[in-house]
Amino acid sequence: MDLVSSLVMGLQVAVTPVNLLYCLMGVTLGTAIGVLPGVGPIITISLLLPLTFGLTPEASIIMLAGIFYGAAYGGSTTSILVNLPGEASSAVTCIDGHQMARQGRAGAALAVAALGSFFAGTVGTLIIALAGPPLAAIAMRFGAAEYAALVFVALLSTAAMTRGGVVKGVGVALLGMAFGTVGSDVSTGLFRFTFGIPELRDGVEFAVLAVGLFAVAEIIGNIGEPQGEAVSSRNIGRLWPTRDDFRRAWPAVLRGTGLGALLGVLPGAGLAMSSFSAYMVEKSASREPERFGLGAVEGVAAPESANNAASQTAFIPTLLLGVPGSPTMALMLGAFMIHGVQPGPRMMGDHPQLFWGLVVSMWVGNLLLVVLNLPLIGLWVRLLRVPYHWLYVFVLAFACVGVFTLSSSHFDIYSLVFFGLFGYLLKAAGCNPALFILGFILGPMFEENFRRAMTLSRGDPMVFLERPISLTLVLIGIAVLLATTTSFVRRGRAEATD
Amino acid sequence: MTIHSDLLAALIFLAFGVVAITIGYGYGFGSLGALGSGAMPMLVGAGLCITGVAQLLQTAAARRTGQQFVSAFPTRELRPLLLILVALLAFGLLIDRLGLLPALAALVGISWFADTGGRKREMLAVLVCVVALIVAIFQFGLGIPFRLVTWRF
Repeated sequence: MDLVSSLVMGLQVAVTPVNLLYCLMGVTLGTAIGVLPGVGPIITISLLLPLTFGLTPEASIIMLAGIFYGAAYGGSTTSILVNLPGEASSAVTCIDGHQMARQGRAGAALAVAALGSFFAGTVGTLIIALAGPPLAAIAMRFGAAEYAALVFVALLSTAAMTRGGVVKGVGVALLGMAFGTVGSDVSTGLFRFTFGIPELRDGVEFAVLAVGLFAVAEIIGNIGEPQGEAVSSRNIGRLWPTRDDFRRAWPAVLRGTGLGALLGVLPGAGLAMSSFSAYMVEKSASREPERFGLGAVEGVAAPESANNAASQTAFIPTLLLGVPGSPTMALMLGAFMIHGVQPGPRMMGDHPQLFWGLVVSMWVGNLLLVVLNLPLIGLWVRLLRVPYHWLYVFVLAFACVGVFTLSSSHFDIYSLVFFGLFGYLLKAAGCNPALFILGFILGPMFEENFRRAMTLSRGDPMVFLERPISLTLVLIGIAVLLATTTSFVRRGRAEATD
Repeated sequence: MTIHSDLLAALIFLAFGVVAITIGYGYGFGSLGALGSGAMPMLVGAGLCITGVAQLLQTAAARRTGQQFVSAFPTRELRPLLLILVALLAFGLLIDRLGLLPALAALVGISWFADTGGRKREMLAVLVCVVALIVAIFQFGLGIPFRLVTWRF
């Protein structure tokens, strides 16, 4: 099937009224979430996971994806207007975006951010559509050894790139892998770590784990934190950017998009890294670097398009290889698996409707965001004033009821308490719970392929080094580990996460 | 000795590592050509023990340089931790026995006090909003039937 007919088929899926509605719900919810302080996309996606059981796979994935890139968008609005980044990825936008707002040019900054993001989203969607078929063809040739090596690299590089140090990162990912072994062993049917509890025979329920680790543990941590001041909306100014803004912004958008698209594919780099690097590149490429920090329009355009491009291309490893590059993508992968869809090279052939529907809906979602975001700015700003007291009580109630509806069993609620406490301990230990999710999702994949590879090679571990693709992957993993000790990456990571 | 975050991480890794190895041993490692059910738990457990020890060594090195550590459990976080976990437990205990309304009331009523500074009158308003939203979303939106009030002990 050629690209055009695939995209047309995707369009037919994406614009059915039901899917369009869920796409709209996803991006609206995502934007709102991006604006709300203390509630990020990971919490929202995990809260909504239990609800997606009842929807069709297309509708639920389209909605969750909408939340994901909608949140990236919402974060930029608050960065510009009130100097409060909702997400780490939009922290850089604060620097020049908020300066523009203080000069009464908030409207122009928001419009540049929106248009730049839309352009980047369009390019990102096209890249997925173009890269999909050839990449899937390569991945089809992957054997068990390559898959095991790929999962190994994805885990190692993500662990190495996360704040808190390599040792903790690797440790948390291993913890996740350990929890992933709970339940019946796929190869032998033996029940592992079930402690005689029948509910554990199918393994730890992914949705409960996600809600406990993120929603519950996050709330416990946030309540302890001192709260920020309430903010007032300010004069937004003229929405349409000037001709000079356009002239300055478009090359920045192009560079940001390219950089973001590239970094989005890499495991572990993530959105924060892409927007930060795009800003740095723009500043060093500029002939007047002194304008940066004083309201340079390039300083808004570049990071915003970079993080939106990255949030699109992050789907490439997830959809085509079945290996999520980031914790949020691990949640998305979990959502696919809830519907019995295994992302990977075969997905495009087995579920073409879902694959192309999702690709096209991302573009539709980005279009909806441009249309939605600008006129509704006043509403988003008002969301900032929702008291945290109301917010957390509602999130808890939603989490409990959502988890309870999974199987109407109070065992799930007790597991929720367990994972809430466990998530709190992880946070107290300075470990990133998101890496735990990644280990939990990738662990079983690693085990299955590792065992198969070892069986095929009759117990010779050299199989991972003899096959060229697998050898390359193992070498990349080691290189990433070494690279994290070099100063550039460490500095970039520190500034991007702070 | 204060339990600071690095030490806590090391303890968590070591504890789970030891459990994974000891229980995993019982499942059988198998041979290299035919790895058994216990192979993965034991390998992961070994990895956890190694990272745990590495973390301990790092901490010890940092301690020698005279670095000051803060406790991983600030006292201001104990109140939300306890109250929120108790609120969830109460929900789990009540949802089957008394129905959705009492369970939500208990959840909201307990978790409201996790943060200081909430007014009691406001709590009732939140409870009404939460119940209305939950019923609207789950019962009418998703068609999941709930017993609002019931009596089953």
